[in-house]
Amino acid sequence: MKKWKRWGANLLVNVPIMILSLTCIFPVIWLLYSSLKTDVEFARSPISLPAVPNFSNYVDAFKRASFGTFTINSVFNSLISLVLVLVLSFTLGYLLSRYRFKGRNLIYGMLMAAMMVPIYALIVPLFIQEKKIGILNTRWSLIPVYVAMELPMSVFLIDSYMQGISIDMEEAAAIDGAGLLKTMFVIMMPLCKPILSTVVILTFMHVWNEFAFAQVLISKEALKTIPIGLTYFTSQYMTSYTLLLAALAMATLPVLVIYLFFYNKIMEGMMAGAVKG
Amino acid sequence: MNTREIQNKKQRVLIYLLVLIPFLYFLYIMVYPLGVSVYYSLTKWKGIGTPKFVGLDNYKTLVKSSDFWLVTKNTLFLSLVCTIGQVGIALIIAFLMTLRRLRFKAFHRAVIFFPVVMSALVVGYVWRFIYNSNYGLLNMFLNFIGKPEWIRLWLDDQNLVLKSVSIPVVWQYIGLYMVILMSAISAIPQDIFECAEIDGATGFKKSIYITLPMIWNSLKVCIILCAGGTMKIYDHLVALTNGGPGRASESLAMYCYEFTFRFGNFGMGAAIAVAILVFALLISGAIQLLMGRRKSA
Repeated sequence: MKKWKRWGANLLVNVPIMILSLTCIFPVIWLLYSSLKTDVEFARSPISLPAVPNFSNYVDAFKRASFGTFTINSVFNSLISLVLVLVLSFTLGYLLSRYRFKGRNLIYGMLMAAMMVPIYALIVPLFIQEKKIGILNTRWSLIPVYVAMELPMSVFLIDSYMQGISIDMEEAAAIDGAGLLKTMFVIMMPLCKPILSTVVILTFMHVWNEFAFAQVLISKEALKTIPIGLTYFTSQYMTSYTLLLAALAMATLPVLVIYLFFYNKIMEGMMAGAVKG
Repeated sequence: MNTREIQNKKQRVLIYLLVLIPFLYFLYIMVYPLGVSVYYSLTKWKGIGTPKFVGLDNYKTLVKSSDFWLVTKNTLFLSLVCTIGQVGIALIIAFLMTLRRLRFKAFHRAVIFFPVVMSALVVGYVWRFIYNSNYGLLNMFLNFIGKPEWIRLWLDDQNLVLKSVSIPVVWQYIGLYMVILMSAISAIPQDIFECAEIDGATGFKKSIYITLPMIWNSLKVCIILCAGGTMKIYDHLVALTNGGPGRASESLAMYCYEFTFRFGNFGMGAAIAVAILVFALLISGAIQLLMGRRKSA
């Protein structure tokens, strides 16, 4: 009797979570295998597996909708943003964490408060501002916005991480005559690798997926990014469902691969952020 | 505190320089436009020429517009449903994750978090396939389990569409709040639980009387993040319904986009942006007030 009761409790706990987990993973798996089907196959049954994996949708996405250009632009934006976010947020995070100077608390407070601002309220004024200084609709329209958008969270993560590292190493370096810049970038930056990789992953995910700013600040075909490209596959001129699925799969695959490789780092970063929050 | 002394004047100047360059850049991109936005919201401006100052006219027009209140209602509804759905389900799962009887914890955590890193746009499009009335997976599933009478026009019925679109949004972000709450729970010192066990507290009681008060602050942060985040919802809706049918699933952010870039009414667009900001601040203030300060710790 007691054994049955325990069984029941086990089921009650395990089954609902298993169902939730499966619903989280199923759409992704469905997306990946459905993108390998032909339109005829998809029309016959949207759920069945493809008879023969068929990669023509992927080829078509590059041929018919210049997916190649979108990819290059997305990669370019992500890489440049990553480098800038790393350098700027490490500089800010390190100095704000290690030194107390006049205005330090104000600067830190403003950065943290900015995390609460819904950045989409900034789209219209940013559009106007970029138009004024002449970087609207250029290769440099999005990167400044992305970098600024990622700064608060990254500074916060680096600051909390630095608080856990003792200052012995820096004091020793100072005695050996290392200047501030050398201490920061040559000695401390490598020590912060774990948290910096978290920053890299979070930044990449956000920049790669960003849609609203890309839609407003870019109208030149040659500069559009993957999320904007996706909207093309649903326009009235392209009604192939499997082609859309292939495009969606291509937008998701890089994120999926990075997620699988860096899962532990992502979780570490989330934990570091949450414990203090 | 792990802090260091500033050694000399030269170093002080260098530190200020290194901090102020990125910070001023940040102010220029993220804070200055907010001020500009407030100014443009008080003008009549088509995007070219000089803005004409009109005082509060844009706001007066907004308040009188029934469309504005409709999209505000939509956005607030989504914000409420998504907050209850996301944080509520995440809290339950985070509690269950502490139980010894739960199997495959690592698998669940990895899988439930994955949608968080997906593009909101991709999530929207995938769910459009699920909801589609002809070949949609949901209706197919309902047929399969023998409940064809439950089949609906999920995204075309204007009384249903808001509920339909809230499900993918909730689905996508459960993992985020689950991880935040799980790490808050794992930061609770173990001996508190041990004491409680000695005093006879069981699983459920432990959760309510010990875990919940201990993670109260994290829970508050989750609720504020979630409610504020949903106020600016845009990508999901563009992919799922593009606001339709009519304006039945349009959000404030979409309304703002429409006024600015489709009608070319920049002053009005700025006024809507300011309205979004005010709503988000009011909501976060209200939550702070309602949930109070940290109860223990």
